[in-house]
Amino acid sequence: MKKDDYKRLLGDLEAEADIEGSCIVSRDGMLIHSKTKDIHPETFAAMSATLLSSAEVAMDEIKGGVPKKVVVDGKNKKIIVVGAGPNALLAVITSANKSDVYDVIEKSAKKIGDFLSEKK
Amino acid sequence: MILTGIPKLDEFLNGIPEGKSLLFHVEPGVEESNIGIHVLHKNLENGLYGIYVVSESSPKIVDKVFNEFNWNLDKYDNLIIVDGYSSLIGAPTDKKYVVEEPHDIESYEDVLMEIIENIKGKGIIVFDSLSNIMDMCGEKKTLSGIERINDILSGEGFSSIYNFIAWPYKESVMYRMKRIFNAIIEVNNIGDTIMRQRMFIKKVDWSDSEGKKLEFKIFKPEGIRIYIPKISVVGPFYSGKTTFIKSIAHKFTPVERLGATVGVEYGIVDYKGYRAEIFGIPGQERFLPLLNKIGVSSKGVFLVVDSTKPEEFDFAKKILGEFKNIPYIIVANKQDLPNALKGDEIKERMGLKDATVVETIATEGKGVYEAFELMANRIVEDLNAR
Ligand SMILES: Nc1nc2c(ncn2[C@@H]2O[C@H](COP(=O)(O)OP(=O)(O)OP(=O)(O)O)[C@@H](O)[C@H]2O)c(=O)[nH]1
Ligand SMILES: [Mg+2]
Repeated sequence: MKKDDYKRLLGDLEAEADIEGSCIVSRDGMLIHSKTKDIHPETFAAMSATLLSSAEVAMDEIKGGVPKKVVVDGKNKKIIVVGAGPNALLAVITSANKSDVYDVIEKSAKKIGDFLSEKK
Repeated sequence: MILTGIPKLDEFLNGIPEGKSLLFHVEPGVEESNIGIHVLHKNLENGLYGIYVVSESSPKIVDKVFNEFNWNLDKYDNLIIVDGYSSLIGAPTDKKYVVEEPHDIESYEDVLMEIIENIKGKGIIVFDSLSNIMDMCGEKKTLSGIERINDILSGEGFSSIYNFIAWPYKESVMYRMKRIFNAIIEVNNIGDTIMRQRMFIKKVDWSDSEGKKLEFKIFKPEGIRIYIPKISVVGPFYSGKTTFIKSIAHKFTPVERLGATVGVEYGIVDYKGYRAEIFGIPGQERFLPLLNKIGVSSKGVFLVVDSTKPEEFDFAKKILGEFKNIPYIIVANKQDLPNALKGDEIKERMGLKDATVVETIATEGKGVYEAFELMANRIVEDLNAR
């Protein structure tokens, strides 16, 4: 079952990195699966997709290539949005300060992207 | 009239006439498979009798499900639970009506007849689940019993609902099922990534809605909703998109700076059994690249225009051009202002004579729900035309 696969993918990510929550979101802003606490994941999903797509448009304007990730650095937490294949993205909430968390997130996003394209 | 409580479905079916039987034929793996209990609740609310036959798990399941949807169990003295489970595992039960021999369909028949004799009034019987009873009592024997039960019920003002998980049964069993139920609705998961389910009216012998489809999702605690994953709201700058979304959505996240929308807004509408997620896209031309990123895969589009600004209609039409083959409705907003053009005039000037247009005053919430309902209906029609 697909839902279990998403659960496993996000569970793996949580086990490997110091994160507080994560969502798999379609590129156009619809929630596919979430593992979060005390937030409204649909809103978070829509806004994460807006972050990534706005970044893409801005990057395109300066011919900067495809953005690898969008990081929103808040006082208490960070949001990290990474593309996961052509149709989805991975949005992560963390308060970790070490940058090695990016590697883990990017790897996980790749796995999710591969998984989604296998399904097609 | 007995209703399912699922709005569009009731419109398609015209309710469930007395004496008719309806089978929810659910594909294994559908997470929320207990549609019968929602129909039960609806009819309890309407003051009819609701008989709930539990065979698959302890009758405590009823408390649990009622709790999940914030339905108050104690409120309904018209609810009768038939316990087909406790005898099976030898557990004590506080239920008045107990199936003593759960391996014998006649034992079910006996209890049901006893209930029907004891009460006066109409209502529905929900079996949760038929597949389980078939496994217990034998497939063919169960179906013969069900035929007898349906025969008797038809004279007593009761309709019957069967939850059925469609494990691979023998051809001959499936064939017989097709014959004995007055209506069969298939329930499947939709294969793409956004979780939702589909109902498909496979058979109905009292209305002409065979072949109709609905996409739905069960929300807790709200219940069953016809589900629309995305409706976009677009239109020129300052036409009233944000105000429009705010006036129909019960949850809304504006993204505004200096009074203008500067990012994608998101809201949820829950109205007349529909649940829709609304994405608002800012109107200033420089934000248009967001249209094809976020607007794609919309099931419907609201084009909001300021009815006093015909000079913007060309631009409005250009925005609309970004959406191909998606149902849209023109929202002719700001009708309270002097010089506001009427809906027909706007269609005419935009060269969209066949379009649907709704006149609104978003600031006062006038016309907005009418627009939403038209849109929701259009989206269901569109799904059924595909
Ligand atoms: N008189 C009148 N004013 C309205 C109506 N609807 C919206 N407005 C006003 O029009 C202005 C713009 O409304 P918004 O809802 O912010 O417009 P918008 O389309 O979201 O604007 P952008 O997102 O920035 O493109 C606000 O001052 C609203 O109060 C209406 O029906 N009548
Ligand atoms: Mg706005």
